[in-house]
Amino acid sequence: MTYVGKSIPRNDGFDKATGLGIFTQDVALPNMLFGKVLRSPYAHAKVISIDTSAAEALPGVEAVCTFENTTNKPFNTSATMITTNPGAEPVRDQRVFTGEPLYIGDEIAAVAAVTEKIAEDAVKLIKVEYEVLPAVFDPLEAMKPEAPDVQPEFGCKEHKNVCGEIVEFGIGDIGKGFEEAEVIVEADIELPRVKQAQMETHGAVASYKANGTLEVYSPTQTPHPTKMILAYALDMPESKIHVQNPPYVGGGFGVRIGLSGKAEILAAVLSMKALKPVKIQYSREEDFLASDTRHGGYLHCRLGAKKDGTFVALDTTAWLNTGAYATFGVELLGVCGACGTAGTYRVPNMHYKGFPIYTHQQTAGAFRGFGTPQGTAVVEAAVDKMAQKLGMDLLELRKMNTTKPDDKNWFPFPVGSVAINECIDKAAEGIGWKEKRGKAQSGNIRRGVGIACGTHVSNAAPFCVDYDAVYLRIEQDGSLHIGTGIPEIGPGSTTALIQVACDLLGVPFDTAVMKFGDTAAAPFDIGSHATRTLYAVSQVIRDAAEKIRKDIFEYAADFMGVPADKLDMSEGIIFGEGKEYPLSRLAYEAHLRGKQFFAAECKVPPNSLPWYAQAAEVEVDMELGIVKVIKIVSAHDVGKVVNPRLCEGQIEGGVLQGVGYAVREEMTYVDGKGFYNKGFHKYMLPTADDRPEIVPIMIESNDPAGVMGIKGIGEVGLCATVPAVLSAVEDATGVRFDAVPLVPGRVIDGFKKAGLIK
Amino acid sequence: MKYVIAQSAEEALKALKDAEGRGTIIAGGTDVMVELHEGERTAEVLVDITKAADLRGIRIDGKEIVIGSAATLSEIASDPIVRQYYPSLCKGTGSVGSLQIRNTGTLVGNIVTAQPAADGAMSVAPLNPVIVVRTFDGEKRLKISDMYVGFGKTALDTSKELVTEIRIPVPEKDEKASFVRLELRKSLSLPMLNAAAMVKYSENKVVWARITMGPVGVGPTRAAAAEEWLKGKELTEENMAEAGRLALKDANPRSNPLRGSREYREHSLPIIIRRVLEDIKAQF
Amino acid sequence: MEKLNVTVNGKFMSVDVDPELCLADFLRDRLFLTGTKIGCGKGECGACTVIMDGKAVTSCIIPVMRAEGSVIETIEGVSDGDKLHPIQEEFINKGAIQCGFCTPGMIMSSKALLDRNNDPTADEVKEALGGNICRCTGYVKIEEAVMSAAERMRNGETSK
Repeated sequence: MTYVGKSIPRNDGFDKATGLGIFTQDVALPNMLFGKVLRSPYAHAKVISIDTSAAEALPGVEAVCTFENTTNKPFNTSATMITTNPGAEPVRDQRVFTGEPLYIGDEIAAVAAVTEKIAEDAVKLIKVEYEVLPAVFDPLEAMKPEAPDVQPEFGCKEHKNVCGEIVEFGIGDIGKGFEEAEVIVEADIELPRVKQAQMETHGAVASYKANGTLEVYSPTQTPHPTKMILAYALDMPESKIHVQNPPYVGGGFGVRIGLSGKAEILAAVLSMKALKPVKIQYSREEDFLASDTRHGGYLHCRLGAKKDGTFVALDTTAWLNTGAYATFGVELLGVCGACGTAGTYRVPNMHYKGFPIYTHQQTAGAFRGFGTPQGTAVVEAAVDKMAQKLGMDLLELRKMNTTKPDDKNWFPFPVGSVAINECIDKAAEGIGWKEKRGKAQSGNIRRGVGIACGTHVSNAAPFCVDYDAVYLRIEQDGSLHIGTGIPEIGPGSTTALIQVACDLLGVPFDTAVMKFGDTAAAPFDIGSHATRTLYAVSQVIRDAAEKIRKDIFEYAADFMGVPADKLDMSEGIIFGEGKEYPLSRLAYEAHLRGKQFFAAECKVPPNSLPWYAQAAEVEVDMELGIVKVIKIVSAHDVGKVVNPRLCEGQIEGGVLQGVGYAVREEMTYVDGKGFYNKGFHKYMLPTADDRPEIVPIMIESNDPAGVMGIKGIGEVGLCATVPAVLSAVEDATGVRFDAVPLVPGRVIDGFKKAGLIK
Repeated sequence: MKYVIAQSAEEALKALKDAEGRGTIIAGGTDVMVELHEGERTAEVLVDITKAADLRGIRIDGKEIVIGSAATLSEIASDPIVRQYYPSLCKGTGSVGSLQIRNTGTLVGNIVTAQPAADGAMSVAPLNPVIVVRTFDGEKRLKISDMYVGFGKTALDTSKELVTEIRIPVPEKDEKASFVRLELRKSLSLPMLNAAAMVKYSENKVVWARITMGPVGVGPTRAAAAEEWLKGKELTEENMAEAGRLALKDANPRSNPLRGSREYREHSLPIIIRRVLEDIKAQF
Repeated sequence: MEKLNVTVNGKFMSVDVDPELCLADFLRDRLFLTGTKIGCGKGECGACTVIMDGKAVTSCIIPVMRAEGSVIETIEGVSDGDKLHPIQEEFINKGAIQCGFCTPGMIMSSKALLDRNNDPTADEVKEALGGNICRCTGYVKIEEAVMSAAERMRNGETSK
């Protein structure tokens, strides 16, 4: 392979390092207006009256949209709207605006005006009278019979405020499993909401024209699904909607799988009213307080084993706070169970039950890991407890129970290659496990190491509608053009995919380009989510590349006087039987004869399990309760490394988000006021001067289902950090925490409870 | 809105006078701009003092270090004179916000915004600074405790008054200072707690101590009971710990959703005070 | 409107501006220098960092008139024609860029540091970047890129 395996600098590096790359924030269209949103100050209320006359009268205001004059068609802002598998119905519980706000920040109305300032002033002139209604914020409280109904129409029948349906599945016989168990442990964990905090806030520019066309620029992670959601909600033909990234996207981490906040549809309805382009750029405060977060909540896990350590039963329940609207609630609880609890270990009797619970808080949706970090946190806590109870080494207990390549586990696809034990060994070695674990500590500053492991998926199939299409063409000079609907949200997927495509085709990298992030670039592609982009799109690129090569070789056979089946191509040179012919020449000769080499292919990708183990070293200031993560070694079975530097970047970035999740990040709800975390100053994600040393390790297991052996890497950097840090803190202090983040107040409370301090 | 770039203190005061109460002084502007944009503040005239030569710079004047009101936090944090006499002031001013904020923000601004946990204000508070204020009528010299009238409220009327400089006595050989910050994150964050102290320590006895702490009251709050108790005592582990415990007598911390509950702050304050004193002792 | 005399990326200009504007809005909306990004509008993320008279500042909280008489450098002025600055090249080569939204601010903070000190310690790099939030990279490769650019600058390389 010429390109795969090399750290080729990313192809968008120039644009991004020079400031010339365009993001949604930079898009301006002629005649453009600016939109601002009126949001509910109450967690649950009914609008008694709304008077927009003063806003409309303000000079410069061109459109005022409210729940009264805008479509009320229910939809779902997330991609689940159009990716729910046949047989199940997506939960369509959102509207563009609402007259009965369900969280502080819910959209009531919006204004478009010639300047942002005028739009802001106009929003303040809208008079709304609310009747405040009872609200519930905690998922367990919300399930009690006396709790107010958050979504009476969309709750499940058997349980109060459970969104859509309960997610329940398993294998074997869980009751029998626990009967067989000789040792049983239980673990609980309470997890916070955390925020994606991608650097570019939600936003969109929408331009509706009276001829019925809608052009949208936005940082969506899923241009095609976004087009479909808009078409559905606005009753427009999909063919008349064009959604594109401009082309760069200032981060995603799951927060814009579907609409970017609600920016596209808010801008669209204002544009439809004003018949001018409208730009909506969320403030950082709006982004924090009125767009999806990670699911927080509670998990409980029961693990049964034989005395020799063999796991025989695993039963997990999750009660997660999905907030006011469903978005990904149901799907996420599924992944929490599947990837977070069912994947890592071979357990003959496994059961999982997940409750996505409506509350009167902002919606929780997709965030890197998508339920896997939550499930992994509680299962790994139980495994640590089991090791202690059995008096076994944490590493050995894990390694003997991890899934093996020939196992048939819960997943409806083959296990594939499995290098999880190698991950465990490498992570342990990297952290200095043997020298450091279990060392008695004294003094105020104590250190400890811990470990956790897990798996995830490399895309979302077959759990939801998830497929790709690409369009490959050889230009008339032999250079490669790839068209795809996927976005480039940061990982470098578009660079890595070109590397793969060039090696599969046998063409040079430096003249290959990819047109991406655009519904006009290629047919449907679900987009960038679920660790899938490189893994899944390379599958369909392989099919298209095979087709084009066949076409090229058949065409070249005549020119070269060599049978097609004797030809191969490398670096744009077709060769066989001692002869060579440049593709550049062939492409032009073909052009002169009215032919271009191209192929469009569409495919549902298979799936592969990316394994990982993460070891953490922490330092704890015992009297102040300050937990500092000083090092993380993160070992990953990536199948095959396409671009080592990009791959490391995915791990390092994921790890630091995991560290934030474990020790600092938390959305804190203040009764009556809403979430406190209105900006970066009030949300303690890690900065450069507070990060630990991060050691990424990539292990190649060559997965049989992946192109060239590839598996996914995008999400898994953070999936084991919480349990690894909890394990390390226990090693340092002797106290096992069952909640994160380990902020000083929580740590001191834990020390008090454990009797370490008065 | 009008923007006046004052070339001197005199010009700044004249601009304020001309604005008849509708003007405000702006130095770093890091808070003023945000407040203006959020609609939390209105001002028709902004009087920028950053180019006023007589308000800039850091110098020694006799037995005092003089910090101009337009001197940035970065300039103070990296100033050789300040570093020589008060490394703790470098640390405190160097802890505010981020380098970008410190490159424009000023120590006076850090005092005038009256944030009770402001690191710059906290680190200067125990150094017995004199804040020199010019008014339309003349000049007044204020102590740091005179600068605060309530939570987040400055005693200064920035539409009529201008801080020109802060004067800090050069320490004697037996006087040392310290600043400690209990933080969730180094940059871009206010501390959970911070504290600073200055001690005159002679023949293993505390001659006097000035200890300030926050956010446990209005502005940097003096730990009066601890200061009094320490007089004449040696800085032993037990005595420093006791001083920490006594600091609670003057502290009234509130719960913050992010930066610690009242309980946690009460737990930690004695430790922070002890560590400030330990740091001072280590300098002798 | 006030008259602003300022040098931006080496070009002197004398323009009428609304003094209520912040420097970032002036650069982005008036000069179309949209490489300077807005991540928070409150000086809390560093995406809008530019260099003013040799110092890194968050342009979203700088009143535009503070720029009177000053020399401003933005990301668009860092390279010399088609020749990238070593910092830009190292950001690209070392994998310091992911989504790219923080990148202009990161590069400007790095440049302000290295212009003054081309042999920084790891802690000095961290201090210089502490006010620039990146949510993608974990900062590892950004710090590597800065160190590597510093070495090239010590060897006399700049873009200009």
